[in-house]
Amino acid sequence: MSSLLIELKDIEKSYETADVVTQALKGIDFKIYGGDYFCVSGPSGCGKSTLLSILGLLDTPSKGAYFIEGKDVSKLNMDELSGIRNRQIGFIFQSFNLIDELSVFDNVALPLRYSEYKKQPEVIAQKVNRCLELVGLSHRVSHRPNQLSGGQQQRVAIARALVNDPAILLVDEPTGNLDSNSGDQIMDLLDELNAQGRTICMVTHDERYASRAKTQLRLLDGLIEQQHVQQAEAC
Amino acid sequence: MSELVYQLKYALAGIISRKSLSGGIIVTMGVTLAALFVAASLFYVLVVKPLPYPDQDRLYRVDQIQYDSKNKPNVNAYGYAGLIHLYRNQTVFDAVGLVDYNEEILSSNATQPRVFTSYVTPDFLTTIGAWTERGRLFGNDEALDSYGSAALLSFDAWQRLFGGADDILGRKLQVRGRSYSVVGVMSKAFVEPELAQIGRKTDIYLPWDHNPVGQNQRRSWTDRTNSRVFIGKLKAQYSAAQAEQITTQMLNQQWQINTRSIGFYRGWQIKMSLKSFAQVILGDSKKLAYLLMVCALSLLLIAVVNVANLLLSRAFERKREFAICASVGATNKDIFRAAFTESALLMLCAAFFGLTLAHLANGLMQRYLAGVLPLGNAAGTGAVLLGLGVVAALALAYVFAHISTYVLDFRQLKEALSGSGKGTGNQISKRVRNAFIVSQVALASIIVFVNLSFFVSANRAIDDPDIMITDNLISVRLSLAGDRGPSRDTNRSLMAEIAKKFQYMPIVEGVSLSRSPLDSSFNTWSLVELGSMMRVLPEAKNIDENYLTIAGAKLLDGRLLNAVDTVDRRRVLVINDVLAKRLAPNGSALGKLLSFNASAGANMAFEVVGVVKGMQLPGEHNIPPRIYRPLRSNDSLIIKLKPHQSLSKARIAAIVNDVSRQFAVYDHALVDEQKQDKLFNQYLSAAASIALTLVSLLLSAVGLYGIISYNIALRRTEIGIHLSVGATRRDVILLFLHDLIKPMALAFAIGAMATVFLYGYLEQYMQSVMVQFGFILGLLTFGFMTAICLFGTLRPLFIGFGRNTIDLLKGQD
Repeated sequence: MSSLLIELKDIEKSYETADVVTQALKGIDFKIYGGDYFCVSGPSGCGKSTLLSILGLLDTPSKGAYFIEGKDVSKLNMDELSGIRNRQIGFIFQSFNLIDELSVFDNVALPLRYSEYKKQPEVIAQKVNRCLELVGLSHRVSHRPNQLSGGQQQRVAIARALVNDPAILLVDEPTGNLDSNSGDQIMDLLDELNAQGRTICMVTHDERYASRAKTQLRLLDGLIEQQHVQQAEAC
Repeated sequence: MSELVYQLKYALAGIISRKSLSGGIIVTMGVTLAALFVAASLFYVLVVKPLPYPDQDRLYRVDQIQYDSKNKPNVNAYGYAGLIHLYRNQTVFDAVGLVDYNEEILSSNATQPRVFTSYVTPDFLTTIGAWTERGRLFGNDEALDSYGSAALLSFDAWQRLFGGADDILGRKLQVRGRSYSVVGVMSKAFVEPELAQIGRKTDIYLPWDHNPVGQNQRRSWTDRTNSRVFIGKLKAQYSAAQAEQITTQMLNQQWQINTRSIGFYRGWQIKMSLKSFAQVILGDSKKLAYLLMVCALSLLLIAVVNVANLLLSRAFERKREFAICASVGATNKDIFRAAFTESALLMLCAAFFGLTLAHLANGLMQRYLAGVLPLGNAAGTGAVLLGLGVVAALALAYVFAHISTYVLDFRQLKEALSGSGKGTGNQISKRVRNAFIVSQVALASIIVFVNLSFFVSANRAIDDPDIMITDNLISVRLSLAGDRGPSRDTNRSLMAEIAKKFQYMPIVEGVSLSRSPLDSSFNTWSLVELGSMMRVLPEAKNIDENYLTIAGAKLLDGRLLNAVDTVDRRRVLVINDVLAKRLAPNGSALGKLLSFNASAGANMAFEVVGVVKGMQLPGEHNIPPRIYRPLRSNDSLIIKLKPHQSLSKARIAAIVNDVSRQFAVYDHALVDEQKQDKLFNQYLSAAASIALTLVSLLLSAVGLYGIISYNIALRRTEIGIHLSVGATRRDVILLFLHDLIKPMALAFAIGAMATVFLYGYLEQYMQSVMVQFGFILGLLTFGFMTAICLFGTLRPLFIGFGRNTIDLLKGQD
């Protein structure tokens, strides 16, 4: 049995505008174990991305408890949350979120600049190059993001997510901005990473890619509609 | 029409949705346009607009300059006889006129007000194209030697002194004991040429023959009074230089004949000088107009850079919006039109804001500067300014719309739509961002530094410790209340009695029977030192024995004047150290004998009995050589009060009348206020430079803050990315501050180089300031700019930190 990595208890999230309160998540409970390939799917507006933002500590729940490796993160201050994002979470966004002014190398190195390795350029170079090799972009280190295709930019984003060796990869619609061929390649890469033991939590509305996950969670209107664990590979 | 309405609504919505950006642009351009409108109004009045006199390019003030035996100009003044000779015999002017400016009491009026009188020949008024509201101008009955008794009122005097009375024509009025009959009132639209003093407006015009010059003096060729002015309309065939040559030849010949017997004038000559009305009336004001215009244009440059930067940022932000428009069929022209409509609305708002400010500023100028600048009535004409404002606003809007759309690559606009809309925050390239910051900081630094230098320079002149102390001094001038005054001896004893009365008052510290040190009571004397036969031209002042003590003069050698000196009118002098050093560079000047005429012998010479430290008068850069001669004034006194005491004009009048009812208080002024008047240019310069500094700071603060904070706001996604990969807030702050270092350093380097370059042009103003305060001023400027940049960086960052990281990543507010 793998160790418990993430645990959500009765998570709720609501947004308030002038006269309307929107309940995006309405009491979500689940657990993610190490080495899992966890997928959250559902129709547009069901709360997938909100859930992923909360998992990635990019947003805070309105109610409920969130534990990472048994630690209640709701009690941490901003800097401690930054530390967890840096060391334990790798985020892959639908729109890549690369910095245009930085080269591919520097974009990938970004998390290391805020880590314990920030004063060790050799270690940074070694880690970055290894990750770029992993995603097949060793020949593009000096390029700028806007000189790359969409698929290549997403690979850079994956390399950046991996570079600090996080406990979990949080992936938000990784193929949303890509053509089907590039999308398939990215999904193959994620499969490969999971096969190597990397824990992945992915949000997608594409059932084709959702079915690749070991654990599938389907959301509808902020509630878990269905949770399915593939028996053959279930932990 | 509906298309225009749609465009306006669309633009208005854009402006309202970005309130702080729109507000920043309107304030920046409004303040700048206000400064530009004011400067342009002044420039128009002082430089462009022709003077309101017929054939104004042929009108000249003709001056007579007396040159001493070393061919140095000594005094600009006519002898009365020479003036009349020129008036009767000149051949180079089509028309000529004479005026003698005075200030007298209108004794026929119950309140006996002081009025400005001008004694004129009829042709003076016709030459300057004067016309009347009522009645007539002067004619043959008031011509030279006709001794007519008509009077003309200015429109303002008619309203102010006679309540605009309908039956004004034929009314009698009395000045200096003589009765005149009002024959006309000048037109309201007539603008008197300010030929002797800016801001002086004649109240009553009287016939030339009755001017206050005594009969003996009227025969004099060597009078040194410069209240009389000769004007002429030059004949078309002569140039000013030719006219100067011809009149000099004619008048100098007569002058030599008539001064031959006066030893003092041996070797002297006169030369005539023609100054155009434009030169006389506008004078240095033209320089001021040019300087203000340059400053206003510099501010405009800063503001245009500011606003262009802000609109560029806005254009980047609107890239996606434009892409959506393009995707549904908008052409480049359509997108330009949308940008232009928004810019035009913003600029029109700014123009109306600016016009309102300019209107207020023009009102203040008319109220406070009309006395020192020949503003006339034309500054700030509403319709012209309004037109100018609308045209300027539309022109600027066109430029800004071009700049805004120039940076957008229309071929790539559609690509902006390829993202899902989530997390596609806009980013402006680092180079563009840095160019914004460098241009802004460099320009603002230069302007702030230069203006601060001017301010410090003006302030030093105001607070100069060498300037004579004038605290608690009251200057009083008396005049005869009736037509006939007491005899000279009686007058002298009455004045002594009046002085004694004041001296006995417990609030009074001292009294001097002398004229105020600040009322131009110094005359230039041409003296020969009998030992070395060296000629000196010191400024001379008649004083009593108390003057130097009251004025706080520091005795360096010998003694001050005493009562015996003044009562007996002894031929002794106290001189200042400037003259003493000339007379005796290595020793004492005491005992030196100074005489007007070396051949008259030692008996007629003045002996130096004391040397005092030179006292600088306000507005003076260097202390000239000065002498003080013992001679009590017969109409003036200076009263020094004890600290925190005051003495009203009514109280002074009561004390004077206690002694004699033959005197009236003609003038009463705090010498400290006279000092403020003398330092008006320095105060004006200090106020203008500090105002410009503040406006520059305001503009650069709004601009820099706008640019930096707006760009940081646009970089929300980038901040989100850094935070999402684990950067702490400190990391992000340091990152953004680090980004500022290079452009700031470059900007200050450019600013420093430009200041060095400017120093070449402004050396005379900045030299001493640069040496003493250059480093501090540089540091101050650096501090201001850095503070603005820090504030512009940190505030939006902390606003960003207050939001969820995911919102930053999505580029949401």
